[in-house]
Amino acid sequence: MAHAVPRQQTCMTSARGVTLLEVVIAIAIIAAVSIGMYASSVYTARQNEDNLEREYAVQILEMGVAKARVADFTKIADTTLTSTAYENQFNSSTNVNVDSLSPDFPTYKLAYKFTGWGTVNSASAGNLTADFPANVSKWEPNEWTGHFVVVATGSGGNQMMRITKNTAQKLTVTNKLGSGSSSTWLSGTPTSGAEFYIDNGKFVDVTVSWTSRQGITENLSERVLVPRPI
Amino acid sequence: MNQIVNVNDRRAVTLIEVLVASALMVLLTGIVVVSMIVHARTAYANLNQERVTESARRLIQNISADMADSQSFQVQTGSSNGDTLTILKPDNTFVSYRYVQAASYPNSIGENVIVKNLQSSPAVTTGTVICRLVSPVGKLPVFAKDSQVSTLLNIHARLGDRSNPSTNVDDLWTGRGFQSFLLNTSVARR
Repeated sequence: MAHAVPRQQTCMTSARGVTLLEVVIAIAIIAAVSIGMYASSVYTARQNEDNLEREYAVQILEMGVAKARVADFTKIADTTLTSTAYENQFNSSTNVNVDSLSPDFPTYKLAYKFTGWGTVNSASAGNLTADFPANVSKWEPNEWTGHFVVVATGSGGNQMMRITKNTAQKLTVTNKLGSGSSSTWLSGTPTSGAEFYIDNGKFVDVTVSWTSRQGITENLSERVLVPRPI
Repeated sequence: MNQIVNVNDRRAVTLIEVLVASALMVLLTGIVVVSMIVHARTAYANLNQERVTESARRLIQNISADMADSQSFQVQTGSSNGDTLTILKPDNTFVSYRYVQAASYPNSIGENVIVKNLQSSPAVTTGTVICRLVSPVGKLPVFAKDSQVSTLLNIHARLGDRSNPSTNVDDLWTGRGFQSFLLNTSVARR
């Protein structure tokens, strides 16, 4: 009577070793996984560096915004200020090094740009063409749509009109503060030389720019309105 | 039941094979372990940096919110316990932020903290801890009124993640060590 061979019996005659190819493939797989983990770590660290750089940029931006908010309205963009005047710091960009303990950190450039006010070059029904003081920027197309322009001085002063569109130097306005359109100036057409202020203030664009340690140029901006004192 | 083991064709493992296998095992284990260590260090550094940065943000947001609608503020400096910022709110109540220096040496951060309380007295050193592990930056006070504009508050402080000297610089790649965030900003009152 023949006996069946139980499963747990082992016959070594048929056992074979692991081939070199199998070993190489196994090593390659483990190496690939490890390299993937390492690359993931490097990527995470770089992302964190970027985040930290941006945190510092936000801090510098907020500092610039806070300084602009408390500036003397009449001295903003004044190019004749003495070097020690507080508002003179806004007339040129400054480099900011955030931390002496991290010398490899990027240098941040803090810059200010002024916009939103000027004098009347000419005006007609529904239109105002502007002249700008030195340092005050011209406008982006339609950036002031929906804002209000206040004519402050001169004949036709002390009136407010709603801006419906603008070009680099010209506003199209209406006396309807809500919907609708009427081009008649409420208190008479402003005369040449009259001062005007969009939203009754001066706008300061604060910008922080830097080149990250990854070599990427980045920037953050915020616009501040310094209201005209009454 | 007998176990049948045929060892007629079986051969021993040679010393070379053992050495090669050992070397491969060491190599592979090394690669995996190094990868894990780098990963862990990066995660550790990132987490601590995030905590420190969050702490700085919390302080600035608290002060900005209290300053925004305040009637006035004042800063008292020069006391042995550090600086106190006191803000007068619209309802005539006070909010104070106080830097409390607990360690003997400012550069050894120890348990220096910034606390917030609803007192006007600079002698009060208790309250809600807003930031831990704070050290001054050089000889600059933590809180200072701007020398040119009285409505501007300047803040200088280094917030760290542990009580090492702040000169023990570290970076995100090596992980372990001192992670910090340098507060150097201004807050305006309008």
